[in-house]
Amino acid sequence: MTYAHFIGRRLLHVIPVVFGVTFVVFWLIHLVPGDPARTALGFHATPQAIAHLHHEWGLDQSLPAQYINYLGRLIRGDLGTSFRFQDSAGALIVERLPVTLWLIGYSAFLISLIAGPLALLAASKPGAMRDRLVRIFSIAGLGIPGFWLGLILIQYIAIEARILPAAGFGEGFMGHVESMFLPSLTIAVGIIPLVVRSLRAEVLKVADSEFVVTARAKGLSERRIRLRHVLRNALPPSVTILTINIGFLVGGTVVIERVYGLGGVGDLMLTAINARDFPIVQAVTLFFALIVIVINFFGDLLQALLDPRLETQ
Amino acid sequence: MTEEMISPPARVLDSDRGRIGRSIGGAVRRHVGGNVSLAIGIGIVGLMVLLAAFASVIAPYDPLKQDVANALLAPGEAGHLLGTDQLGRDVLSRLLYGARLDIFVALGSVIFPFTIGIAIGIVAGFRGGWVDSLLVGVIDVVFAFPVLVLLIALLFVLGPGILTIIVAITLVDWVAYAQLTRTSARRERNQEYILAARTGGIPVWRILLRHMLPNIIAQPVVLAFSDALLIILTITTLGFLGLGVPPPQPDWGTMISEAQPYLSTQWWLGVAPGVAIIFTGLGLSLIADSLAERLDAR
Repeated sequence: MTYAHFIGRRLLHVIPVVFGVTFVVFWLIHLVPGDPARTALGFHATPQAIAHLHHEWGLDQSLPAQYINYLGRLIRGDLGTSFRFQDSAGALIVERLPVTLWLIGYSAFLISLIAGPLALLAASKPGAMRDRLVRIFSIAGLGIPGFWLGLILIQYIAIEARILPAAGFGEGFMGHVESMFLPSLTIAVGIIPLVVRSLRAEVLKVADSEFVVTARAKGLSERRIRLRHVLRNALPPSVTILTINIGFLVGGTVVIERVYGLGGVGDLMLTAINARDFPIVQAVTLFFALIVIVINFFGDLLQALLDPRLETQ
Repeated sequence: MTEEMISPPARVLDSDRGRIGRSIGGAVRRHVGGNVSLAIGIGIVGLMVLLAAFASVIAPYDPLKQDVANALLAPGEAGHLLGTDQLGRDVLSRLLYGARLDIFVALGSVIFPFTIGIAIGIVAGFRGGWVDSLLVGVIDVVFAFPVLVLLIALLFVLGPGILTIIVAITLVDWVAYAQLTRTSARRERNQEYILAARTGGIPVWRILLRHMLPNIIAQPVVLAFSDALLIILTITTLGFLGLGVPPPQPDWGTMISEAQPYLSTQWWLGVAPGVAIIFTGLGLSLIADSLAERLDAR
């Protein structure tokens, strides 16, 4: 079994999921109570306008034909056309993509930076004071609403203490690093408790395994055992733990972009909802699901690189 | 033979026992420690539920009554314990009615996914075959969406309102319970007590309900508590985004959203509902965590 085989097999698993996701997004329009075209156009729309929109959205065709058409448009790279801006959904998303990708990457970085050491600290002596403190922090941290924390951080860190910018994407790489710190931290705080908890359990599981007992029996130093044996083997599962929570992270960007006034893809979704811009809502929903699928896919690949045994499973 | 005797022994060895130390003091601390956090959690959640249930009795004012002449009062002024908001509405009363709304919606949004997910998961896991494959496919697809994004999209198409929030969360959330239950059911279906029950000719629905379910219900119950926390966060987030419960009904998220312009001058308007969310979340989180720990020890 080579790595290429492994990649191929993961791809085969991803394809039906992608089809399923497109089906759900396609189906959304049929969940609208009553006539979606009438809902979109408002109650004073003329019958001609409604008939025109029916035709444009293909609602006058059979369901399977509509779905095939939708897939065909997606394959050609056409995510739909905005109702209000008369702009293609793809272009609108691409325009706002950098902000959202920054937010995702930056918060994932902060999560690893904070959750990793915390989990190791807790797992280094289970049941001890440090373990309990970490546990109390994660229990308490779990209940903090991200949007509220964001508003508080803006008010006290940015506006009153003037330590960091309150809003915006910033200019240049260092500008982004500075401006996106508070938004990314806000997202990270919501996810760190989840990650710390699973990571701690994972490290303890590795520390309990037989090869660690063997290493100890061979008389290796505790430091060497921890770094070379425990940590090395806890790395692959921690990639999984991060990718499992990626849905929360990506969902978090929608709210946090709004709180910090960042014009990213999530903000586009909320704007489109206020404007009842159905094609955009549909395109952005599909886009976010694809992001999660892609990140999970690369997470799997990375995990197999770190732990070659997984390729054969 | 009673059903209890067929069931596998519920408690095996405490896997953590060797690690924590064998002293009696350690065992007592550990045992009581778990009980204390569970008790605190139950106390907090119980208190919030009581406050929510008796909001109409406890609340000093009508949460919707505007009194612009007395807008933005500080806490304690003119008999308003937590002050008034920008429309002169009593903040404490709005918090209490907000608790009623948010906790009621959260309860509904946990019960339906819990029941539906377990029912589907247990049948699919027990039967296996194409039913199970189909379920796994559906789970994979729903998990591909960020929960919040799918919820926002669903609320957009279904329209606003308490009922649609519960429907939308149910549509998304049942898969978590189904996945958990399906895995357990697959593990249990070849256990001897199930085989014995099948050999005995007991109908399948009865085997699932009376024999298997009691053995696998613990995990979904723990999930329900951490899920309730996430759902309260989700509902208030939706309220904050203006996609939740339509105003003027008081909801903690909407209250925070409305307090935004006043954070520099009347900070308590934003802090009070935030603290209410964190406090409720802490209770649920404590319950989930101590229950999970007890389960682990099984």
